Amino acid sequence: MPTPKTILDKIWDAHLVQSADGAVPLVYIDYQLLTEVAGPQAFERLRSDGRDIWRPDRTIATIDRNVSAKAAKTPEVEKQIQSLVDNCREKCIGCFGIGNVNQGLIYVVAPEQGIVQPGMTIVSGALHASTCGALGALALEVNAKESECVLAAQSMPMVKPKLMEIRVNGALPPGSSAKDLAMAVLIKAFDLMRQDELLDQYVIEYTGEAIRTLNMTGRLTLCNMTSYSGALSAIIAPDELTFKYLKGRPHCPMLGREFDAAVTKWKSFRSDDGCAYDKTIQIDASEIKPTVSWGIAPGFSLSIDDCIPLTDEHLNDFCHHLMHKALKFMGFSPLWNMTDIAVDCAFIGSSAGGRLGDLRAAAKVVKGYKCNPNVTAVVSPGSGIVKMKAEAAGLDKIFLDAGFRWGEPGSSNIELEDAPTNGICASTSSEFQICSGVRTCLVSPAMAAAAAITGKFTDIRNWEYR
Amino acid sequence: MDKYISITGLAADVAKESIGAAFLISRSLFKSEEQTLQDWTDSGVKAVVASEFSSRFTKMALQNGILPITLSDEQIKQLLQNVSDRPGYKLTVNLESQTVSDEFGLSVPFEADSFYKRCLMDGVDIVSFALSAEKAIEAYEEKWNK
Repeated sequence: MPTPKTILDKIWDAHLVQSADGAVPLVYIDYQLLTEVAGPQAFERLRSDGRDIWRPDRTIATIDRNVSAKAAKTPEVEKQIQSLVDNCREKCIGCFGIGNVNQGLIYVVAPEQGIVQPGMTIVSGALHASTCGALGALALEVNAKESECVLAAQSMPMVKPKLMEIRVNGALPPGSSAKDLAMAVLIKAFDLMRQDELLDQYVIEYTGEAIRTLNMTGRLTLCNMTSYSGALSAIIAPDELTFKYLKGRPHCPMLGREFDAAVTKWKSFRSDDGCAYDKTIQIDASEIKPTVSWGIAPGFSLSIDDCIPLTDEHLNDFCHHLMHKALKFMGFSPLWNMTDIAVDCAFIGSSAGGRLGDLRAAAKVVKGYKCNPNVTAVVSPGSGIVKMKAEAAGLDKIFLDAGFRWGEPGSSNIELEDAPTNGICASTSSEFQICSGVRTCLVSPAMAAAAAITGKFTDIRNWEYR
Repeated sequence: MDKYISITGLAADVAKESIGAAFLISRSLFKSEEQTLQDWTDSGVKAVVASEFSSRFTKMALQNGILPITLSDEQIKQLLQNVSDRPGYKLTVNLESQTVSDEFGLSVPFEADSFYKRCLMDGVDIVSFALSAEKAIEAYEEKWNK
């Protein structure tokens, strides 16, 4: 019997270019994803070092988030966008620019276009590369030097990560979503940090019944938010749902024989029974309630029916300090009920809440209601494709009728710029702490929608759908 | 990239005036953005000395030609004392023998990652390292039909 291998072992073995004694292995990268923020710096370095691009066809760029009319007015943003567009044109790199229907947030666009496929290696300088792991790819965030290296050689030296299994048993109860599961994972990671254990050498593989029953929107959200655990990335072995999702996407193999052959290959990218993980932790999905983050770091999250905790004396110094800082920053006090806290704005969008499935979940809540007059509410579809499909399904009308703004794809929280400074925002984004001047509390798309209507954090389990 | 073997230069407290310094010493856990690192490389910084570095920073610094040197809190305290007591205080960092020394008899060993040690000593950055395997990359692409 051959030794059982993990999904990571298999992807690693299939991408090893060279592994010499005493040197860090050189690993082939299937695609590099560029944005206007992470891209220009790498091009500049490449140019100043007098190097060329190895495989322009394995580099894909998109204008990520600086799209709204308001944002485009700042000269710095204009410059970033122009720089990316010019570089891509000069180097023959495909770029989803403004006005292109496919443009959007990189981690919405890359899966949507079928660029990310099971068993691939993907890198990006943009935060949350782990999102791509939802399709069974090994996706890593790189710094500008590594980004330059991959542009120049389509490979980079890399130490093999360790693999941690997070087995999510049982099923999520009604009202709980992938976002809530992600926050439960981050609480676990925070607990480990409290014991001075960091996850910075690990890729996390999600397994278990609850993962298999998550839809692709949910898997992408879970993997997206995993980057906050401090882990290198997240990965979910591909299954029938993955293949169905990929079928017919522009960058995927042609339907028919080619696609079937790809599926056969993709199926091999799974961890064998009896394989050895470097670490395993278990989570019971049935215990996960709708969750709200209340602080400035992942791990500061609690159930919607809970209250802000007392500062915990068992915390180590670092965490204790962080907790005080969080309370001060948010302006909350211990023992406040979460459902008593008023919100000033609600944001539904981002690469962890701006996909069609997220918009559908939110629209279901909003239907037949009006926003609270004190709340600035915004929906921002994650890409041009999401926007188009949502409008075809009439979701934009539901939001607009209720008093939400309907933003441009990927325009992100920028649309909230006229919201009260330091306001509290019920947000589906993946940014803890602050975004565009508002303080964010992360919630699922349904909970963000409910907060926009009631004007405070609301337990979605008691919602009366109209 | 210049070859990194034995370098003598000014030492400074990173929290204070540090223009012209080759070695930056930090009292606490060292954190920095990549842009700062690149600016340091451009201004001639060769090493940062602290009692703790994040793994992300360590890799990023080494890739930008800056050596992260981990010393004990005691040793850091002593170095900072020397910096404030002796204007123009210099250190010598010898990567080959992995020691930090000064002209007053100080000599402390430090740990170094063997791969990046070789890269720095050969003056090879990760891009040159990867491109030196050009043939292997081509062979890989051929074999895997990429």
